[in-house]
Amino acid sequence: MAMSVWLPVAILLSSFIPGVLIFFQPEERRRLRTWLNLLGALIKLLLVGMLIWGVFHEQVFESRWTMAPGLEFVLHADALSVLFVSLSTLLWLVTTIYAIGYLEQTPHRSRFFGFFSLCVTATVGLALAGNLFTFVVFYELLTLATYPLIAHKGSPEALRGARIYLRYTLFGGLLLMIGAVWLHTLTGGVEFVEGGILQYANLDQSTLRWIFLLLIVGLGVKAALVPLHGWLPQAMVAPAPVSALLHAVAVVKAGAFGIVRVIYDVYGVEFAAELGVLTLLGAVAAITIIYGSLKALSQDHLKKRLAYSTVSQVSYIVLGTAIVGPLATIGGLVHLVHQGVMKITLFFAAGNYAEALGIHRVSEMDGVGRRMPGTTLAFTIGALGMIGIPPVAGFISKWYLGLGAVEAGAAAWVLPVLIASSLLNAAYFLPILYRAWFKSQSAPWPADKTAGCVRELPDALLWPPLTTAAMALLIGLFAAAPYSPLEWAELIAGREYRQ
Amino acid sequence: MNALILMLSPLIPLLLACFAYRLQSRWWLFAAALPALYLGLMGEQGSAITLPWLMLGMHFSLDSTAQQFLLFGAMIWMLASLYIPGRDLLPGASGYRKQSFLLAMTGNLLLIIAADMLTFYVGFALMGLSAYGLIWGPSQRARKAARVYLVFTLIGELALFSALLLLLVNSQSLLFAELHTESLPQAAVALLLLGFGIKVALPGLHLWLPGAYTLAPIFGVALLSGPMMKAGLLGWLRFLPLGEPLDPLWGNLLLLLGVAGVVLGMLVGMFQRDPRSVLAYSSISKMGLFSALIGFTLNHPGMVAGLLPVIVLLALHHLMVKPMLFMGLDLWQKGAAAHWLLPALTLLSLSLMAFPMTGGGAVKNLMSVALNDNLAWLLFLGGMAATLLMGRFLWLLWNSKQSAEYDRLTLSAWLVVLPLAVWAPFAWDGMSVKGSALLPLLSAAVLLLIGQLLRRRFDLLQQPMFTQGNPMSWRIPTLAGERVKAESGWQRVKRLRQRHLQGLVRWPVMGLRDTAVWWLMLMLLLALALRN
Repeated sequence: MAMSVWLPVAILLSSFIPGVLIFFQPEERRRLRTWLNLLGALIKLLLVGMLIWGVFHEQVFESRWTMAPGLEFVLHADALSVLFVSLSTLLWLVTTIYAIGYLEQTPHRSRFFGFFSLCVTATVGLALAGNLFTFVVFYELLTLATYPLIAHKGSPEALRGARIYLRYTLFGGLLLMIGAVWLHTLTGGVEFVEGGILQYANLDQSTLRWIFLLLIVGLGVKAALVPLHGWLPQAMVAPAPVSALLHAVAVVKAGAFGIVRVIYDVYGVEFAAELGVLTLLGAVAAITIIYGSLKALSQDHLKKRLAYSTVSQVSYIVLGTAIVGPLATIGGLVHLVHQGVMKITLFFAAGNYAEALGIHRVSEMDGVGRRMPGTTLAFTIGALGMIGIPPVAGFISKWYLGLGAVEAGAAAWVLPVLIASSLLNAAYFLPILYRAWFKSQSAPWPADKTAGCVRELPDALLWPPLTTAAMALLIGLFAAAPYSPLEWAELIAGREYRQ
Repeated sequence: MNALILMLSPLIPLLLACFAYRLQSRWWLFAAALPALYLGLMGEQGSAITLPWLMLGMHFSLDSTAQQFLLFGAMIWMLASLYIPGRDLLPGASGYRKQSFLLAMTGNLLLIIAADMLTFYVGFALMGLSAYGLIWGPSQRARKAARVYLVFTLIGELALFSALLLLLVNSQSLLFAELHTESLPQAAVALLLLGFGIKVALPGLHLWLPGAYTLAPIFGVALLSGPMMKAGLLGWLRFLPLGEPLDPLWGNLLLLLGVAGVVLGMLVGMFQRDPRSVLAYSSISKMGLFSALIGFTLNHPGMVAGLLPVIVLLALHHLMVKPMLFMGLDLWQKGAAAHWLLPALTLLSLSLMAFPMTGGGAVKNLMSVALNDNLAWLLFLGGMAATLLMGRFLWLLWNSKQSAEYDRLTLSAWLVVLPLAVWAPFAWDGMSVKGSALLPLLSAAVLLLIGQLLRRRFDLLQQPMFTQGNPMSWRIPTLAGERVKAESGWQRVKRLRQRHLQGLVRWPVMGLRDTAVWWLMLMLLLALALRN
């Protein structure tokens, strides 16, 4: 078979096979499990490197199977898939290393890493999905693979959080499926094509509006659009690596990515604007941005504060999608990557605080910068990026979103939203940084596990946040360099607005 | 070569900031501004460099305004670095002074050499946010002052951010040189006035200033009142469409706010009991004058060519004099020789009042000429405000308590910069200050400081206590035999001096008398330089 056919499949298998193998490993075979995990992640990284190169040079990668007459399973790599695939692959590698360090000496690790690999397989699968049917399949698979990860600890609290998650996402999945089937019956198969296809399909506009609503509500559950966000703060009971992956790559991003796909590659952004559905979506995104930040302000629990921050930040992507114009598109797409890198840093750091000192609450963080400088440095970079302070990556997203809004003549309502959001982000992140760096320790650490250690943490826990923090800084600082996320987002925007 | 130094001038402080936790000598901070000083003195105007891969493409260039800001800014940064107390240089010192200092310097230099809006913005944001660490202190009031400062700064950043987006979409280019002035969005002008107005403390936007100026450590205040405050002014000069017709609303608004600043600064300042507060309100008053002048310039596009260089000159004069006043006040309060300081501070005050024969007086004359007899009332008002406030300042100074000890180095360095601060505007040659005219003066100043250092070291080497240890090693065994590691060489010198040299024969260290001799020589050099 030609490379163009097997490469997307190989990318899927590179995490699927290790995942399946790990399920059958006994708990104590730690070394083998680690090898399988890392080997899979590295092979995937290599394959994705080939994919990036190919897609950049406009090669076509596609694998197709006919499941039933009129129902095709399609894997197809375009520039947008590559953006999401490379983000997932890179962060999966980092998170795997972190998870290995984090779950040291805890039970059920084989189960954990098995589902962890499946979760990434599903994420990459929905990134590579070439039509709506394939997308829905992987979307549901992701729901199922994530449930055991959230429930991993097995405590009543964890089970409750996971149950809430399942209820929300199954409901969303159902709506998405109804929408997809409806559209399928009308068109006989919905392929993702850059620039969209429905504008040529000559269908009843109000029907298309209803279908849009179904699809977006279905996807909006995972993307945590208000008022469908309720599961996300509950899901923070999951272990730190799961939260990190959940907020940065897998679930939340899958929803946002789906919205991007539906608008750009199914409806076509200009056609969607014609239907008038984007105004509504933009309003929802704006409300979500402000509401998430406001809720984050009042959370003392660190992971909950970060969770509401995700609610707010992921809607930047949706906002960028809802504004018509290449610059806003770039802003939204690049934030898909930027938010992931920054948020994963924050969750790694939160996990480290809990792991080393038992810190779960913001009010317990006084003076933690002195005790854990590496982790806190990473957290600081991530937080500054979230506020949008140059030169961290978040600034670039904010810049393009703002620019897109001005260009599209939507400055009057988008700029105030961006400014309010930046101020709110500052209001809930800067006090954390202040406590960590400027205050001195006011009470004994809740559970000091590293007392007497020379280093702040083992390498496997310290280096992942430092690496992702450095990435967040570098992709902002060198945003205009070749192969940067920004360049890639510009490439996609160029292809979406080609005609 | 010049382009390379242009790139290095913000890069070196940035790199030093990354390793600041290891730097234990203030000379690192001092040296960080050297490339900028070089550019100010001898940089070739028009040298430029573009880094297309950095952020969204960064452009640096050195025009006459940038060069002058670099020259005077660098001097104040260097002088202020000597005022950082030794405890702030220790590893693990709270407040992160070294990091804040270096990052703020990076931002300040970056915005001065910026040739595009985004680079300016990045520098401005970096400088503004890092200055938090220069204001913060462990006391309740200092923490509050720092917090208030930060809130205002963030609002300023965001206003500027929005203004930038509007300007960029309007002119489709980030470069200042290609900034379109036609059909400028009104909102952008309003946001520019707001964003920079916070930095220059327009009345109403000044609420952060009194707290920050009275509670920050002295080097922080010196920097805030000098290079950082003038960055806001530079922002207006760079972004506003000076010389192009604009809705007169904006010029009038700025003029009005400026005059309000002059008057309010004077009125409130006169009732302050703390000499530092008086200086703080004098800054508000002075910046009001600047704002009013810019407002006037906005409404008189035809007069820009004559006015702009003089406004820059006035700004630079204030950039030097105000930090010098703050630092001089600190020396005075720490008990440095009164008979020297009072005349020196009076001289500085006179210059700020635009007294004849001082730099301030010279600039005021230039300004009257450039204004073509317009706004005479404003200059009068500004002069009166400055005179009243400086009078109040000197009176309070005379009655204020003196205490404890001062660092001799800070005094000598201060005295060295004094003539520059007061008389530098005489080196003006029509469009800009000739950096080269100040070169002999500066090299003498550097020699003086090196001499000062060497003599101290030399002085120490003569002591038997020292020669018992390894003279090449700075890890000197103390009397008790313990090794002290956490100190810088500088602090060790100080401690040794205090603990072990007391009672021993003191070698003549360069004191005030020597400094005076140097000072006279510098005056001569200055006279020579000006004659050329």
